[in-house]
Amino acid sequence: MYSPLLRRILILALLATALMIVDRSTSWLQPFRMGAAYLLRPLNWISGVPRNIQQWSDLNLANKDQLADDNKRLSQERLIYRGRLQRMSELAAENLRLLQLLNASELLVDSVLVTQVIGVSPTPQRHTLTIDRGSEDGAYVGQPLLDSEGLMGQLVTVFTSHSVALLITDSSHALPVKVLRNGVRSIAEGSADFNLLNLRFVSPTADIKLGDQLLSSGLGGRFPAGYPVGRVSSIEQKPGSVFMDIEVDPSALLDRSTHLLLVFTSDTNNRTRSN
Amino acid sequence: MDLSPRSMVVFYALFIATILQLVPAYDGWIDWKPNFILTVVIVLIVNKPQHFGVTFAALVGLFADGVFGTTVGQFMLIFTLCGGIVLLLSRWTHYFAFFYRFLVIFCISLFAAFAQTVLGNLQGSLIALDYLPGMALMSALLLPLAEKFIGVSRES
Repeated sequence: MYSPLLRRILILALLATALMIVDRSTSWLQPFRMGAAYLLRPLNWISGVPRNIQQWSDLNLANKDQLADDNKRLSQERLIYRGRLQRMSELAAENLRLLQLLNASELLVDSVLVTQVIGVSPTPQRHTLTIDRGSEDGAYVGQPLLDSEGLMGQLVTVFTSHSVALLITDSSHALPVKVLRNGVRSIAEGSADFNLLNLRFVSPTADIKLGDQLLSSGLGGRFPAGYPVGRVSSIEQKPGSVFMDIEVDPSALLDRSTHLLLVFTSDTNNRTRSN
Repeated sequence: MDLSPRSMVVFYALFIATILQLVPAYDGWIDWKPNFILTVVIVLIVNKPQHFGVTFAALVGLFADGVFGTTVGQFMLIFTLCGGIVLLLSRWTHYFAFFYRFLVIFCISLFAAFAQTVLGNLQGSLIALDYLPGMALMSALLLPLAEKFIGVSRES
């Protein structure tokens, strides 16, 4: 009844579906993923050559005036940040004193490890990055990732010498946040757009305003508290809707940053020490 | 294993397509990024249906799953269906003029991206559909380049 071609298509389609089910429900195909990741490592490196050439040329082919301007600007920025750091040190000391007065647990201090992006997701549907740190550097699944501006995402697959991170804008990602101004809590969900996060299920009476800074709340224990996530860019109340539609502009430069920080939270450090 | 020059050309075409697929695209450009690997596979099947079949498409799809980091089997299924459709229509598509081959690549790329979105949504990722036409158009625009490289161009 069916031609051999149709039969072959059907068999291969069923095989592919079976593989998808097996991959979604078990870890039997993990060796395939590991093998593919190792095979792709040199290809990732080759695909990064144009970007590396651009970075090299930006660094080495800049003229003297441009370098002098950059130097002047960076010196000024350094001065400003040093000033802010002094204020931060004072605040940190004050915070520690208050925690001691409240008999609270030790002040959490996170350590970081610098890492570089060596690959990005080849499709617009998935927002992932490949970084050049793996389990040999102490990286672990669920580890938070930052850039200089804010929270980027978390590691979802860790190999020996590299890892794959899921960005906070991936449509399958959600992250507990709080408003810096008043501590109102919410969940920021990815939208598959590098410049947009959505706050879900926010009541119309919630005290959230345009321009509010959002920080990670630390709830759920995956992300440490206090890292910048984004700023509220739009608030809309649709007629008949029970909740507000709130859009957030992410703080991190999710599609641009190439040098990132892997955060080792105090919990992790304690765990590592106890092991 | 003794590889013919034609096999080497196919290997190089897939290698270059993989590299191009992995090159990062920033800002809004990522929505216009074509599916290089699928385009190469479809160009091969449209032009040489007697040499490249649905099993070839499925195997390259499995390889694409490794490249894209998707659930194993997802691209295998999409490539199988796309390759199968092209093969079923091959008695006509093989004789198509350039413009109609262009349309075939466009429609197949659109179908592949749509299937990918549906499968992604079934797995819990909410993916918008607005990037599909741009991506399919860019994939179709690769047709002359891919045919020239693989050496199957019939326009001369």
